[in-house]
Amino acid sequence: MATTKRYDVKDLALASEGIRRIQWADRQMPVLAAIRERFESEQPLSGYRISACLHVTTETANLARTLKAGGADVVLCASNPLSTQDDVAAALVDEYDIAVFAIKGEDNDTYYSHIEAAVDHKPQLTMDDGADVVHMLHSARREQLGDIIAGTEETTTG
Amino acid sequence: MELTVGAAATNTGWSPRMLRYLEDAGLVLPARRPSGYRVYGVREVNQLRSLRELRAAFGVELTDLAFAARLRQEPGLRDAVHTWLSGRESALEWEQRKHERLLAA
Repeated sequence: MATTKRYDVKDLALASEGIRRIQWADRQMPVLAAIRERFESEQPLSGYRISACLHVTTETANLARTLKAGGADVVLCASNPLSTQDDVAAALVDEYDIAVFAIKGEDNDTYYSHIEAAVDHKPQLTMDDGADVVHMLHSARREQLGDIIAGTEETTTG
Repeated sequence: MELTVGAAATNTGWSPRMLRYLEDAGLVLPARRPSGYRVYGVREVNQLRSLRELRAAFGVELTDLAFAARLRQEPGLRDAVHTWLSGRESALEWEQRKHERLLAA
């Protein structure tokens, strides 16, 4: 499935391997799968724009799928340029129609341009791992703060 | 302008042998006449003239330039080198530096 959304990933041709690995991870994530099923019928996030800046891996791919299933318009960028799985990023764009801005090994300028792309999405909800999106909103994009309803921050390294 | 190897060498100050080396390395590629003779046009002559300057300004050797040319021509090699250079720092090390920046802010 081709997407019309903006995205920046390494190579869409990697998508098939990404789909296989996302689906494998999904089978180990039964709670998230149950939530996704419930979200599909209840649509609790319908009409909400979410910008998520997380490790772009099979696990967060399933989280992004779940948010989308709940009706959200999700954009995902990387919270760490070295943990991005390029096949997963390709699969999210190509198969799951989720806008992703992440390329493994991207340089600093590209990394921050991808966070900017996520903020350009004009989110109402943010998800961070290391505060990149909320930092940008509170510095360069203060005019967007009025749109924000809530944000989450997680940390993976303590 | 269409120069033979000898004429191009005289014109640019490189030896004919050097011109063949540059061709083998994929750096300066003359056209070929149907007879097989090499023909150096304006573009190639300009490349040959500016090559000395490029080496002097940046301290690069011809082998470095040849590798740079390979990086442009071979996407697989380019990606592999890029990944290798990025791989000098692990994702975890990057994560730890990010959190140190956050704590310092």
